[in-house]
Amino acid sequence: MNYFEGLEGTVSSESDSQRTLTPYVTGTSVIGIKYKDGILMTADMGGSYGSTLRYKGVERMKPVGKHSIIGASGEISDFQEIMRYLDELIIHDNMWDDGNSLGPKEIHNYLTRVMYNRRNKFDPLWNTLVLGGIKNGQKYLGMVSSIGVHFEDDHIATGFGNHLARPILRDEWKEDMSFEDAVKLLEKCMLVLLYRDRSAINKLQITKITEEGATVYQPYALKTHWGFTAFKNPANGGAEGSW
Amino acid sequence: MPDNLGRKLPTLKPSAEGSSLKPPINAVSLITNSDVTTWSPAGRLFQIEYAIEAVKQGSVAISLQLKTHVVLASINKANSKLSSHQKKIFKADDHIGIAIAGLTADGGFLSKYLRSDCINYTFTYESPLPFGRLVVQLADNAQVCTQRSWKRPYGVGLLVAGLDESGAHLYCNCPSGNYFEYQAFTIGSRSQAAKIYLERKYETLMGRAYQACTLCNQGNTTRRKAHKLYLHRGCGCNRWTFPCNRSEYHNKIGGVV
Repeated sequence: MNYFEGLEGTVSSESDSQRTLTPYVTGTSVIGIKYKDGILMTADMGGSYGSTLRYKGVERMKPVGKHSIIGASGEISDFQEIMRYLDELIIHDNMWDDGNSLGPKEIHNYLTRVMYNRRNKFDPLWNTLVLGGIKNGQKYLGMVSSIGVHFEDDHIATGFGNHLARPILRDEWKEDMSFEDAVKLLEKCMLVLLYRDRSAINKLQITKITEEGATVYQPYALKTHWGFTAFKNPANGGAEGSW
Repeated sequence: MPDNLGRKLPTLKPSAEGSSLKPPINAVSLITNSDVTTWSPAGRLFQIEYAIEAVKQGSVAISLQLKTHVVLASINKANSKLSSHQKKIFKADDHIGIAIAGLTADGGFLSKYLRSDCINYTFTYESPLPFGRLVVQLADNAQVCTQRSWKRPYGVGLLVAGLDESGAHLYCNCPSGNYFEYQAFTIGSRSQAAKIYLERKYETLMGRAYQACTLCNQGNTTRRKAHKLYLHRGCGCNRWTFPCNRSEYHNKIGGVV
């Protein structure tokens, strides 16, 4: 899904050394859903260096301001840069000290502008961002991609989650789920991703945002089952075909 | 009378209200009067004070702030029988309106600036600009004009009225770069009478938005729909409204405030 291949000849060579052409350390899927009290988001803590699962303690979700949380898949260094932009934005907003604060909708749109403008310069931030929050009782969950595609929905999934988690969410997501039900649904999606996405690791975090604030939970592992003949005895009639 | 550099300077007439600002008539003060970046020996910047005089020359603009509504009203004069009435109330955004008094050209320019600020914010954040911040930016802009030798202060006072998360607010911006929040305020000629009336009646008017329009007591008409913000053009009898109460604000802006 490399939209920016073959660019070498098209833009002036002076700026080539400063542009992102390929990502280096990447995070995989992020899944977010609305539930009764706000938004729940989950992502694993893996940072892949190509096909190597090099970093296993990468926090890919962060709170933003008082009302939102952001999760990122894609290039980790670009996510760190985005966090710097957002910190600056929130600090300036707080400096006004006038009782107004930036909500998730504002931050989502700000990020859309940032991503789209970078895309127009052929120097994208190589991320797909999930932005969720709740302000004055209004829940908000949206996504922005590296080319500036942005939308809002009741459930969001990035990366491999687009293909593997979204069908599960479409079938099983309901309005106003309880915290326990919502976590169960997220874990179900993450389990599928863990089995089938090669860049996923079994160390995931859940982040929650409610009117009271954001909570980033401690990482934990899912229970997996590997006792299939395909694994125990792949050569003799175990591993056949695909999937 | 020429000053000691031989320049012929125009004499100043006192304003219609007979304000206490009488320009001193001697050579030194004529020099200190003409540049906004020159202090007088008494520590005053006369150009700013003269700009405030210009506001007092304009026809009146009145505003009243209640918990969920703000009302702006103005007297719109016409130059002659054949000309149209002067536009004095401007919509800066769906949730912000301003009324001006003074140099109307400056007023039109500032309203353009406010509109572009509002729309730039909405473009980036998909949300209405918290208009307390707009007022501060406007005041900073006005202050810059009082501290550059190649500029002059704006000759217009603005009553900025709008809604934000914490309810309805009213600010007055002066050419000096000062701004204050008011419960009710008037600017322009013969505004003193309206001010006295407002000071007496404000508490009883708190709950009645539509009656606030009767303050502008020369020929405005009012309509008894308390949930709309009414901005009336007085003598021309045009009624122009834009929805500025809380529920319409929610609907217009999409509910996320």
